[in-house]
Amino acid sequence: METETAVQRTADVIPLFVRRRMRTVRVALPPLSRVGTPDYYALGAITLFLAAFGLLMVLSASSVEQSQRVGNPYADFGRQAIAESLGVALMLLVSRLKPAVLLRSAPIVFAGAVVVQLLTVLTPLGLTVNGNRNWIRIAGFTLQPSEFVKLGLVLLIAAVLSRRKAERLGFVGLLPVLLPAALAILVVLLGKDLGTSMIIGLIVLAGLYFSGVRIATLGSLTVLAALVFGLAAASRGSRVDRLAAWSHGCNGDVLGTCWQAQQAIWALANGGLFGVGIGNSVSKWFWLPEADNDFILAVIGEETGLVGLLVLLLLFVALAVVALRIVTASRDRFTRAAVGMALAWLVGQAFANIAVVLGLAPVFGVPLPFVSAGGSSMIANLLAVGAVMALANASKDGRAPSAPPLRHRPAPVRGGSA
Amino acid sequence: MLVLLLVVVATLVFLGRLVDVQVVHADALRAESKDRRSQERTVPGTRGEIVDRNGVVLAGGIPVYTVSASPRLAAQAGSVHAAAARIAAALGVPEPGVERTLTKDRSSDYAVLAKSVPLAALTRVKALQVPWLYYDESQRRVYPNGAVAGNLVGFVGSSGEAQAGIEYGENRCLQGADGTVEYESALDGTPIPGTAVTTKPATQGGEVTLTIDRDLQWFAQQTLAARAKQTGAKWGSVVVEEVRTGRLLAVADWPSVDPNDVNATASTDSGSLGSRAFTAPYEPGSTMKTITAAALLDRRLATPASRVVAPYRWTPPGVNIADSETHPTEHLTLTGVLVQSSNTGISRLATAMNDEVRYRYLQRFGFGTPTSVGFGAEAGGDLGGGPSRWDPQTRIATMFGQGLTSTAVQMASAYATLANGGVRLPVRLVSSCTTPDGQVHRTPVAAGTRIVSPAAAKGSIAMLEDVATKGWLAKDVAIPGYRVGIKTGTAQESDGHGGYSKQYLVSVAGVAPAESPRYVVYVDLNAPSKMNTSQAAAPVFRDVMARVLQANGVIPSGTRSPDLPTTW
Repeated sequence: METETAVQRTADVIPLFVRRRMRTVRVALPPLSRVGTPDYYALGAITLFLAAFGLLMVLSASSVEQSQRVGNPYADFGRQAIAESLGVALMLLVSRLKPAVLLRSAPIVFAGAVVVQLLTVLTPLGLTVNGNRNWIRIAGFTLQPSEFVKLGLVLLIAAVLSRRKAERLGFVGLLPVLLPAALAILVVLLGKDLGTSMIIGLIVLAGLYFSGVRIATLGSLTVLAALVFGLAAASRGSRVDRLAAWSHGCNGDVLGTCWQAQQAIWALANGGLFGVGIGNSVSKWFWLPEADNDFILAVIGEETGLVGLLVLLLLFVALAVVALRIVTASRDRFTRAAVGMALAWLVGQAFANIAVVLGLAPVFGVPLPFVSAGGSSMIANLLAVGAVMALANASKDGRAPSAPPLRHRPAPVRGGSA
Repeated sequence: MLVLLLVVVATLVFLGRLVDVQVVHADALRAESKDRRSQERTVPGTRGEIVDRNGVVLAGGIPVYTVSASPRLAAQAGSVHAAAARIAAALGVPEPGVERTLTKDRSSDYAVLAKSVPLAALTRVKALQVPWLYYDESQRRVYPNGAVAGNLVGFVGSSGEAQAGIEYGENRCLQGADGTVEYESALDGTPIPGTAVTTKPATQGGEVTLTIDRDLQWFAQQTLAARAKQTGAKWGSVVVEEVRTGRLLAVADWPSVDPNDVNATASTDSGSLGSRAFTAPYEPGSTMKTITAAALLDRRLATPASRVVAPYRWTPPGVNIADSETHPTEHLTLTGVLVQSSNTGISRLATAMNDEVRYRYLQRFGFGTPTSVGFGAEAGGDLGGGPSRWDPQTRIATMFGQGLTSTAVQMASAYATLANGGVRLPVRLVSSCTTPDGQVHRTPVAAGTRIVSPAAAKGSIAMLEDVATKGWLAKDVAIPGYRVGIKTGTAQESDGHGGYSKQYLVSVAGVAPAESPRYVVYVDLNAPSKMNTSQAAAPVFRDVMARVLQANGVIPSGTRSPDLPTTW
């Protein structure tokens, strides 16, 4: 019975026309190991993950404010998404460049960034936001040139140090490094952006450290930098207030200067261990100023809890570990200095931001790399990672632009600095 | 490696701080932030309705809203003037007032812009989407039937607290309990979606069902009011009781009160705010003779045909009583005593009865204690302390309804007892309380109590029929097709100083259809200045009784009233 029906059914089926010989197309893709080193991929993966997570959190943190202010909850998110797409494309492009190109481009990038920064602080093109003259409006886009000053400075200092034996250099010998550094800090300070200039200071010190400059010289420079920034901080009332608020606590005056810090702590506490869920932050309903920017970590902590913040922290630690792997693996001065500075920039700034939000440091306003809203910062950060990725590949291939090897640790120093 | 160490140390410091903030001290910090960020809103627990026996709403509630603002946030948001204009237009109130409220204290977070805002205006204001406006729902009590049963239903105060009548007496059933909802708000006061937590659920009040028939109540009030005005009475009442159930179908009072506008009544006559049928005891007068006669029949101390010589005046030791009109000495039967309403006749017959026994009859008929209704401020009347405290004059006077007091409802209940074959049923005004979950809690009904024998009851009713057919008000109380039994009362009223005033309280108590009584109607009018006899009350009795019989489809009697001998 069954077989009979089966036979009848097959008779009804129209046979498909199948060609006897299949055509085979082979596409040759290079193995991943030929495209990049493990560090290359690790960097890219960590960065992309951070950037994507950051974008999500920017949407969550900004939508309430944006829908009230401009009527479109996606306004901030859209801008950030465009900047991020552009940034990721640029990162991937830069990651394929040869280190020599990076080295040669250093003076141009730096000079360009400084000029635009000067235009920002000295001409009416600049915009002042929250007391910082940090943005320039060009053809309808706003740009934060100080972020590109950082990038330029990293490349320039690495380029300068690639041709010198840093461990032998004193203050005078370091002038080619210190002068551009001072210029960068000065132009940023003109815009009254203390936070960014302090990060630049950190970048410079990291560059000198990773290049093997003597500890004594480094120590004196650190003290000098601390003095300069201390003075700069004291020169403005609002900063003194912030410092005082941080060191003395809020004294119940919740509406005073420590509002932001207080709201951040409340946001974190509200998040607890597992968070209130993405989108459910209460603090972003205008309680927490700069919720999508300098204080986005508080919103992340509220929405994803301790667990989410731990993941975020570990990503930055992973970034530091990968950067350090590249530094230790490379014998090239340019690579060591550049990657070291990128490490100080990205991870250092992240930690500074985290310390502020957690109330461990006074509020001095630096964004969280890859996460905070802000197109210029995002693009500059991604470009820096692109450069590090390029160097990560180069160090493995031995295609270092400058040969002279370097000892792993800075040489012990006799006596003090000159 | 130094850098790695730094990174790890920093991470551990951050982690420690995070555990401290997000786990260890999280609850304390959260409580601190809730203090500032969360707001509480009251969810009104609505008061239940009062309905008549057919479910017609006598008292209900409509939601109204209080619109308040935060002047501080308004100032922060700016353009207060324009906003005030828009809000005022939406609320329909003058604009300068709104702006003044908003600008008076710019640091304040609470200023009431308008109270009792109806839903339509609220919808318009909400459409403005002003974040610093707040809306609190509350209820306004409305009485859709106005003064109909207003004296019974009572009223609530401006903030909804029960003050009089059923509103007061049945408050435990009616009242709801407000609940609270806590929600987190944005800095500008906007409630954050999805953060509302019911911290205390609101409970709704129950529905009170009365035994009152709204239409009959209206008719009784109308009839009473017309007659009261016509006769110049100070006040009056009509009580309609269903004989076989003890239910009050109508309790009309005049002057009546409109619970929607209590002040209008309060300013003219504060005594009318309750129901005088329950709260104002008075010396009932001759209607009490029926009760005395029923007791005599029950004790077999008399029959309707018992003979008595009734002079105009009778003066045994310590007593001086007379009939209302001079007349030669008459030879009356007990029936004749009731028909003529002879004070001397009933007194001479009732002296055959032990005072203690008669006092117990009065008590068992319900005099001296408030009825089972338990109406607010209900009076029980005063029996003068009982036989031991009666002086000889009072002892005799109580036989024909002087020297003791009763309320209209008590008297109606006593007549209903006779109409019900001698079994007294508890008087009922509230039939049930229906809780919001749909459970009906019926007012517990005590079993009837036999007061007099069926024969005594039947005999009493038969005598009342003769009063109706042979008395001087026969034409005024006759209802074609139905056998009616009545007794009138024209009582001298206490002047409040131990004597009697010149004013009378006139009343008619009656039953119908007399062969198988189903309804008792009792009418009283206090101090009718233009007609101080019970003729003033008679048409009200007739009209209301006729209406009750018709409305309830009572089959006409088809037989004639008995013709009992009244004289000998």
